[in-house]
Amino acid sequence: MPRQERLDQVKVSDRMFMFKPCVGENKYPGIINSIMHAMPRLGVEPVESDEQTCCGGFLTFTNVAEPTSTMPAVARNVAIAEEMGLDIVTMCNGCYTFLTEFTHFMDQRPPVKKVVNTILSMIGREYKGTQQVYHAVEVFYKLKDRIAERAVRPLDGMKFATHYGCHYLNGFKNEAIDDAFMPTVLEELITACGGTPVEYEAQRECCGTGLTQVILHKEEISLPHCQRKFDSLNEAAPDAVVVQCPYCLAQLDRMQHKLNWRKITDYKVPVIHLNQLVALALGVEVEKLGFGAHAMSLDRFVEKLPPLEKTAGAREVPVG
Amino acid sequence: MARVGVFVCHCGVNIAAKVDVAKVAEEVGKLPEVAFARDYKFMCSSPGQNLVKEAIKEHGLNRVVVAACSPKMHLPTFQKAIAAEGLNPYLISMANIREQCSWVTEDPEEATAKALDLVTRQVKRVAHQDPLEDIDVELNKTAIVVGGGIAGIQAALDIADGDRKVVLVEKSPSLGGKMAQLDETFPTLDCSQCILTPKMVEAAKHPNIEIRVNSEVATLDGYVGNFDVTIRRRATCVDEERCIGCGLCQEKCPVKNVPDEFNAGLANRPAIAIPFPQAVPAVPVIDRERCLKLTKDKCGACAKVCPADAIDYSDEGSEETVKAGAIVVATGYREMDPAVYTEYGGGTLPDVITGLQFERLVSSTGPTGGHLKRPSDGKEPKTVVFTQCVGSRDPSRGHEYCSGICCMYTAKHAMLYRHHVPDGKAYVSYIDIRSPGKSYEQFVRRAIEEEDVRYLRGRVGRIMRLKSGKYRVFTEDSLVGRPVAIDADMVVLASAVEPQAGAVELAQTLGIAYDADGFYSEAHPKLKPVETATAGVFLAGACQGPKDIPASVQQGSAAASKVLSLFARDTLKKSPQVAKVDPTACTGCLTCSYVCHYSAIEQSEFAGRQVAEVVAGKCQGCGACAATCKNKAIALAQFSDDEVFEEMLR
Amino acid sequence: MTGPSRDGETPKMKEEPKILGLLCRWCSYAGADLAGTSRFIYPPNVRIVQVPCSGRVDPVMIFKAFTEGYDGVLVSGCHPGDCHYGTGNCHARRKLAVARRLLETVGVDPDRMHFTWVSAAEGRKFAEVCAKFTERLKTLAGTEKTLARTGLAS
Repeated sequence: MPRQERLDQVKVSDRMFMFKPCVGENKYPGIINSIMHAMPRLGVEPVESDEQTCCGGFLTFTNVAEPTSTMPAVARNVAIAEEMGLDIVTMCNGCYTFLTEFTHFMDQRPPVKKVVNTILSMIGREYKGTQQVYHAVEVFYKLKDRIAERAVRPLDGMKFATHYGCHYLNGFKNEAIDDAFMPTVLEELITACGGTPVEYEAQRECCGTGLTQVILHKEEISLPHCQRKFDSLNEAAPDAVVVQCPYCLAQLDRMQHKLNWRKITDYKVPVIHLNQLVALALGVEVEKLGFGAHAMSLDRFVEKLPPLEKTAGAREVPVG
Repeated sequence: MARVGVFVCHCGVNIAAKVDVAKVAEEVGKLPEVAFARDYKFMCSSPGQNLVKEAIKEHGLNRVVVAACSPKMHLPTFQKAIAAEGLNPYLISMANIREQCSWVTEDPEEATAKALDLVTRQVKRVAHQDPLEDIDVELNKTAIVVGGGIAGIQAALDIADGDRKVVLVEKSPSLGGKMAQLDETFPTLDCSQCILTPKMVEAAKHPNIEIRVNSEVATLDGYVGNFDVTIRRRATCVDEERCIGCGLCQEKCPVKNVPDEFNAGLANRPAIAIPFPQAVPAVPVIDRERCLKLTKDKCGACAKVCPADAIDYSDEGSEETVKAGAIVVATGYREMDPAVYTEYGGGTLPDVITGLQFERLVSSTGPTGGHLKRPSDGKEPKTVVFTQCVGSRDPSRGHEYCSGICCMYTAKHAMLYRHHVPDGKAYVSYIDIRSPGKSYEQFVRRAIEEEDVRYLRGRVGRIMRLKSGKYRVFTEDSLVGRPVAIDADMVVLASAVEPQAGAVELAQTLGIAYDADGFYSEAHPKLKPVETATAGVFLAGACQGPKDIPASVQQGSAAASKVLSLFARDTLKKSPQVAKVDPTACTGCLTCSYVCHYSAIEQSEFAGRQVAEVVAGKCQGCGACAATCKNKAIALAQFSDDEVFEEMLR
Repeated sequence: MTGPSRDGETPKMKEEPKILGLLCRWCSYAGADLAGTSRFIYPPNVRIVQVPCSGRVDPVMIFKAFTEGYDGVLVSGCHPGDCHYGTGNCHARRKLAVARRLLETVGVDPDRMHFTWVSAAEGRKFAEVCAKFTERLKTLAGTEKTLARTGLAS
């Protein structure tokens, strides 16, 4: 159940900074493109910057880089948005974690903030700590009613499973907008988009990215774990599973495909990101959502999509 | 002319390690008021007290200062010593140079300077203290016991057997408390109801005990020996005197789906119901929110079928005021709701139940007639995981403290389960095993060694509901260092012991202190477990802290003994620390009477003028009046302006 | 501990503030005892005077304390709702709120009077209150300056 006190702290502005996730840029550009097209339909101008870099999470997780290097990188990224006076919307559990944890760390330790700003001053920037970092799920949830109102393609008859991932809910047990073990925000967003959420046993299991792709590269440990998740997911037979993190997307998408390709399994559940779900419901054209990059084919999913409603209520909203 | 004797205690090394006691005695000896001063190792010992007595004789002392521990510790000791020597016991004061000096100051020089200052202040103060006499107050020898569980019943029986009257006030419709809900008790596996009901009946039939069920203490005024207690009875709509306990009303009641509190929500009861078959008194109560007659003016079936004409829909409840000399608080505990643990399903999983719910399932008087069945589908569970420490020892979302009874009742539950389902598998997930009582350790070993209960040392991380209807319990066996997943049919959570709902409000009504967790505070954690800081109000049972049945019974008897010694004499000796009005200075504005919490100040007359007068018997000595009087016409004995200023102003 | 002497000598600027602590017997005095039993160390600047209830504290006591040379006065009672005598601590709070305004009027920094609730279980809190209050007083200008201005110093 969502936590009202946390929800009250989420403020949606007319212009917000879209923090692009690296796995999005490199592997699933649809994640970024969909939010760039969805936000204007919700009355928010999405601003991006080419100066933005990776949040540094991947490098820190894998011990390739020390926080002493990645923290200034985070500060620099946040400073870019600060200079524009915009709050930041991340669309990845990892980006959210890194931007939030490191900015809190600096805010609570002035000596550290000072050192980081000394480094940033060398490139003419300063981290002040004036802007908020949100996860797209928080912003979309806050705009839930608006999404339902403006959904010109309500996803009637489409069944969706959810996968929240670990870092947002579990990593921020007290600060996330929903409970770590019994969350409902994605299900509610699916309903707002007109779809039907389905349950499956392994819903709160981790996707296994950390073991497979990021830290260990020990497939023999992680793939059996994933198989359990995929078996459960496929048994529920949704039209797609919705994730809120590109890493989860990559894992669920590519590993299902890999296991199928090795003729071990015959999984059928395609994976889409929350951004793509909302964009679909708001009527953004399918071609703009980057489905071609997904390993698990979205052809059947697209065929099943209801048509755009040509109702009098459908608003002509300028596309950003 | 004051002749003060000063005695500076070493208290072994407690004071002497930081304070140069010899120097303090020497310096203080130079004060004009001081006729004699010395230091000594242990003033509270017999030889120490004799020093005081001898000095009084030898040096003609008329005041005494003992510089030692807190007066809260030993003032009465020294008061008795000087009284034995013929010196009025109120002509002494103590300088607190231990708790408030040597124990809290790092530097010996600073400690010594502070000690000297503190002793000097007491010397100046004591010179202004007057001799006083204790006041005799009549006392009422009726006791009120609040709470009809085992602790309250025991206290009531012991007081009543001591030939004193007791009013036993119980909030719910029957006596019995938590013990009535239990199936078997550790470590003997005695049937709980069987050992409890004789006591319930004895209390109900005892000539010296009056039972008030469906009742609560609404207000408490007065003071020890002279309490005025208002007891409010809820509207039950059933006349206790007329009801014959036949149970026809609950049979005929058409409303059948009210969650049953006695069965911990696992079953339903009618809108008019006797709480359980062995209830004492066995008189039903109408649930005002579910009764069709009271909410919609329909039905009325119970009144039609009642052979004794005991139903009265117009009942609005009632209030009575009882005078009492002592109160025993025995309001018990409640089981924490584990819904905050969303990793355990947050209360939404039907077969993940609490300890009390498990008791009801295995009870022959329970919703399943004692057959252990899953609430979801009624099937017999073949694998059960018992999880200890749910909400206890968990500062993050539960309570920091240990609930004390769960290790024992979990072992009991596991054994009961194995008795009910001999081919069933029982697992206990634990952090530690706490089994300190008599035969307790042997009881737990029996579960492990003889009854094949599998104990796994590790906390349960998550309970996941499977499509099959089973529950995957993720835990670990930390002794071998392996994670463990068990597919269970039922999970029992040993949920924490918490103070009752409304415990804090009741404490404020009764004027007693409570701790950060909401349990009632005893007067001293080691030496006064059943007294509170409020004279005449005693504690018994789990309201003071989590405890098992033997400990609750012990405290019930202990509280009773305190009450009986209070009632042993006909008058109570009251402290002379009372206020007094100087009528020559009083202007009769009566502002003092407005701030008096005990209504101890009355309007009176002096030389044709209206003045205020303090009723010494009622005054509790707080001094609010003395601080309020603009003319300084009212003074509090022992804390007069003179005495306080002498101590303060230097 | 030095203070302005009663014969009117102008004293030097004190470094160690002298603090009067008026503590109610049932809660705060017991809390101070608990600080001792638990061996929580705090600065030796406080002189504790026991009163039966914080309601016994008269604003006159506060003023006399400052004229006597105290740099700070700490009054501590039971938490609201827990007063051993029912409502004494409520009377105290109201009276001392008025006293605080009067202190301002006569030119004594009202921060020199600190009113708090310490229960019998709050030993650590009592030690912290004393330490913080002592530190705070060290940062305020000397009492004697303010008293000299008002002519209240004897």
